[in-house]
Amino acid sequence: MVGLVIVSHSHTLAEALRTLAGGVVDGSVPIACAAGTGDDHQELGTDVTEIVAAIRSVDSPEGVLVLADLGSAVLGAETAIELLGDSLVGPVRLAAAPLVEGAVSAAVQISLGADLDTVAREAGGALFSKQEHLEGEGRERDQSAGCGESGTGEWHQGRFRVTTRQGLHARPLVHLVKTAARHDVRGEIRPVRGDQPWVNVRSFNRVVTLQIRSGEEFEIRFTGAEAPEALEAVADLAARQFGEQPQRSETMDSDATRQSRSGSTSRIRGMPASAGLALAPVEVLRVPRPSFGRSDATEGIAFREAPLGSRQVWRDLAILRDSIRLLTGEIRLEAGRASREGRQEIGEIGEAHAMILEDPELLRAAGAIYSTCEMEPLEAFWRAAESVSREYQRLEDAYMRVRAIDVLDVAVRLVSFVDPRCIPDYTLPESPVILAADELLPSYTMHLDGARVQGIMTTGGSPSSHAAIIVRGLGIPMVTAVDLPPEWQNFMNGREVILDGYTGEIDLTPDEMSRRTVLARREEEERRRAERRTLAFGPASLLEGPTVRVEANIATAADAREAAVNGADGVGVLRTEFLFLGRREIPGEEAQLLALREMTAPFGSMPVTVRLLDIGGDKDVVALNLPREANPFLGVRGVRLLLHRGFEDLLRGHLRAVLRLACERDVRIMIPMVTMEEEIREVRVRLQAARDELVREEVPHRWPLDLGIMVETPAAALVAERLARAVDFFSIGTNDLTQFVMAAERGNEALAVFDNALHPAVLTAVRSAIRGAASAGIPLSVCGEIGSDPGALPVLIGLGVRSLSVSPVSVIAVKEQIRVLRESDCREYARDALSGETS
Amino acid sequence: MIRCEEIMAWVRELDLVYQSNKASLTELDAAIGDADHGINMVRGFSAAAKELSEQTPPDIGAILKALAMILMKKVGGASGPLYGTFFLKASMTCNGRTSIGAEDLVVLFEAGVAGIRQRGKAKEGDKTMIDAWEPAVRAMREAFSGGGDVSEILRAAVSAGESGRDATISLAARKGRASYLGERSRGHQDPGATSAVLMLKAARDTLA
Ligand SMILES: Nc1ncnc2c1ncn2[C@@H]1O[C@H](COP(=O)(O)OP(=O)(O)OP(=O)(O)O)[C@@H](O)[C@H]1O
Ligand SMILES: [Mg+2]
Repeated sequence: MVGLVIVSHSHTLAEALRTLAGGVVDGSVPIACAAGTGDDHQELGTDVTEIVAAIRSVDSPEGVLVLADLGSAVLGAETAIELLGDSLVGPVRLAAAPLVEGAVSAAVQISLGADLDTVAREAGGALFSKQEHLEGEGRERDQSAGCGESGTGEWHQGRFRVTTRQGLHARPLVHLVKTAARHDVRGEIRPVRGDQPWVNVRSFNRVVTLQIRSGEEFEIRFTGAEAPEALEAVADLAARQFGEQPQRSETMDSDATRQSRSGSTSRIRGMPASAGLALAPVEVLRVPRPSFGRSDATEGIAFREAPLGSRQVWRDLAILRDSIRLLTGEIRLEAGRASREGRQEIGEIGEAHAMILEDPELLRAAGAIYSTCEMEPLEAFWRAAESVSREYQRLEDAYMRVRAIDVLDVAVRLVSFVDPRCIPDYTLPESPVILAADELLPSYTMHLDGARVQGIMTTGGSPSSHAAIIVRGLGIPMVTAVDLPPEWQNFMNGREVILDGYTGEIDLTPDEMSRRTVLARREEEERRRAERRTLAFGPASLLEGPTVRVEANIATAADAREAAVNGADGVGVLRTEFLFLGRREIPGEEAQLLALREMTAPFGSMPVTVRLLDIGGDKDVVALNLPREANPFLGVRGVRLLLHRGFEDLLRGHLRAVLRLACERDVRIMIPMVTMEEEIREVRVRLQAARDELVREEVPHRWPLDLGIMVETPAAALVAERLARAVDFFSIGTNDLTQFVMAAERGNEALAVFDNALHPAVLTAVRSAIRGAASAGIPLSVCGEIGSDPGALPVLIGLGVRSLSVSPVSVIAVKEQIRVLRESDCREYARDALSGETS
Repeated sequence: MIRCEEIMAWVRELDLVYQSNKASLTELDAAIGDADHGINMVRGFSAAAKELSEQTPPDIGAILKALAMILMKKVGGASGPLYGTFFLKASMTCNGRTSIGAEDLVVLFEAGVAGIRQRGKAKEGDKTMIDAWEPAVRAMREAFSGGGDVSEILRAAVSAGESGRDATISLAARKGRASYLGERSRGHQDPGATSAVLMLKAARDTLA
């Protein structure tokens, strides 16, 4: 728990404040005072050595927040922090906050389990709620004047017009909130209409409820060290339409399509959200409501006889806090992966979900419910989420209204994360269906199987809801906002209907004629798709040139299926992280073997390159309990972690599982994040040891296996010739290689220009790896986004690459492109690219 | 050459000087502050003189460091961390040394003033002790470059510090407690700049 230190000139003041703030949180927060001077501390002043002692007394890994009144208290606190150096177990921060208000809100935040950043921020903002309350309209004047010496400093304010089609909805807001969070500032935002209060820009849920619509203006202001930079970044973001398309009329949204063309009552309509035709029985799906072992979910809730003290609330909610942290990590990971694979929209939805989930208001609301009502923390969380979701529903803006489901979605995920038994298990029938629901949870939608779900209709939602975006990506026809009478579930279930995702029409009583037309059209669509696919299945050769292998990067069983259907020539990178992510314990060898076997099933005897566990960097694994690093991308990750002390058993089990898998599949092993030859040697030693064990135990496996490395550090690329002699193959990981060569963190929008795998520096590193492989005569392939970039592909081929591994969705397109490329042209592109003349 | 004995003499002299100027410093502080600067300085330096004479650390660095810690603990006002930081940074320039020369002395003061600058974030013209310190150390460096000895260096420091101190009278305070008065602080001499000059004078009288 974060500790709090009050530094004041006056001993009496500090002690009184300790009582005041401590009382608010029931004494559950560690508060220390350093105040007064002279022998009995009764004179006004401060004693630096006492501040040092006070900080020490509440030191903890979560850190310490120091609040000081003025003058010598501030200078003394700064001096104390300097004297402490890094002798503390946690970080310590001096807050630019008003003492009394700051101490109270810091104490509240601490009792809720907030981290040091949040506590400091809330303490710093404490003054503003009071200003807002007391000064109302008059506050304008003070803002422009800034807060002078005693406050947080000057405000930097700007006014921007929203030009995105949907106003400041979830995705643009994610960009905005992230932009603000990247700077060392406090920021506030409000729409320019009437007298709207300022809202903390970091509170995603509160900013959303401002409902800043298209065409409206908003004001944003920052204070703090990087206020001008933050404002500039927002201006830049606004100029780029918050990363969205500018306003344009889209037929999909227009009400015109909803007008009925036929008077027949057997036809109903909605808004077409995803093109295509479907004919199948309806399967009614309800938004899952968790049950918490109460017979009637809406009744029978007793108030606690006496509200729980915050200390107990804080303790009891620990499970929620931890789970929220873990789940947001997981959601972010999925989102990052989706973005990297070019599914930008899915990535952004995930990011929005992560933000909804980690919004401290949600946890605070849960805490408030829990402290007064007789229920488990998990149920309190669910109820808090329901009420936030209801708030969204009340919003005027239709676009924002549909976000209510996103709040429920993350809540359902959290509940099932903590206790899966609370969520009723639901599986779709094996036969094809058309799903009908009031709304779809985006996270559920993501895992729908297009073969089984022929079409989707929802009474709520809209073509711009997250679920619809996902459904379009899956290619399933969908109609939203369907006009159905109440109680529709009863008469719809099991009924065979035709759903037209082009017009938004649903035929409830299809006759033989229309049935046949639909089937014929579907067949035609299917045939065309199959045609493309068959083509994809064949090898892809350059025009009058050699064949280029196109394999797939896969991370899940669904990826594997998709890659196989799209005609991948094998698996170029099997990411094994899925075996470990989001798990509380390290999976055993058998579990790994089973999962890997299932995952690789679609590939039969095709080559499969298994990349050993690549954890670290942005990927955290709960079960491994890894320490946080200041610079995770350059830290203990990949092979460094596998060879790190304490992970011997993990690597042993992992290698054994892969060796056993090799009995059934054509497996090669690839080592991630190699920098030094010793690492390869050491993995070989461990591999041999694992093998010896299997022999001794007479467990079937295959031996020897090819062992290769990811070339993704500049070090490996530079000494590729040496390393090539120590391994059986190379695979160039362009994503990491680019970020390391360019010394620019991937995914940092401010550094977007550096994220260029075609930069001559990166290509030079790639060429060095290619030459190294050639000199030792070992095969080489390239994995990473660059392979599916149509601009980069010819360059790679020109450099001599004859094997690629791309995301499953890209396989078809990459093969199509290869078939129209000529080797000699490619060589020219490569030459130009290396010299930096074109890109 | 300055040895531990001279440094100790300086500390004792400071105790005496601040005692005899306690009232005038406090009076200056009463005009634009909270009427405690003289009291603060006396509290700090009496404790220092007493504790250091009971157990004198073995070298100049250690003496100055102990002095720094005592001031930080005892002074109580803003001048506590400021003078404390001055002596702490100064002590680092002569760790383990039992004697220092003219150049060392200049370096010692420069490091100390850099500490005050960094801690208080005041600039010249903000009406603080910095207005005495900055010209003083500049004059020290100049006197040393011109071939001056310890005595000449400290004399130059005192006279530059005095002009800086006097210049604070017409300034409006932008740092410290007096800044709450803003324009109304004009016309009064800054107490911190005054105590700084006293410190330089004591150095001139004991170190040279
Ligand atoms: N930020 C600063 N930078 C440099 N000098 C400062 C600063 N703040 C105050 N001073 C100096 O300190 C002197 C006042 O010292 P004093 O010991 O009286 O502290 P104070 O102002 O009473 O402290 P407190 O903040 O406890 O009220 C001022 O005259 C000024 O020269
Ligand atoms: Mg004072």
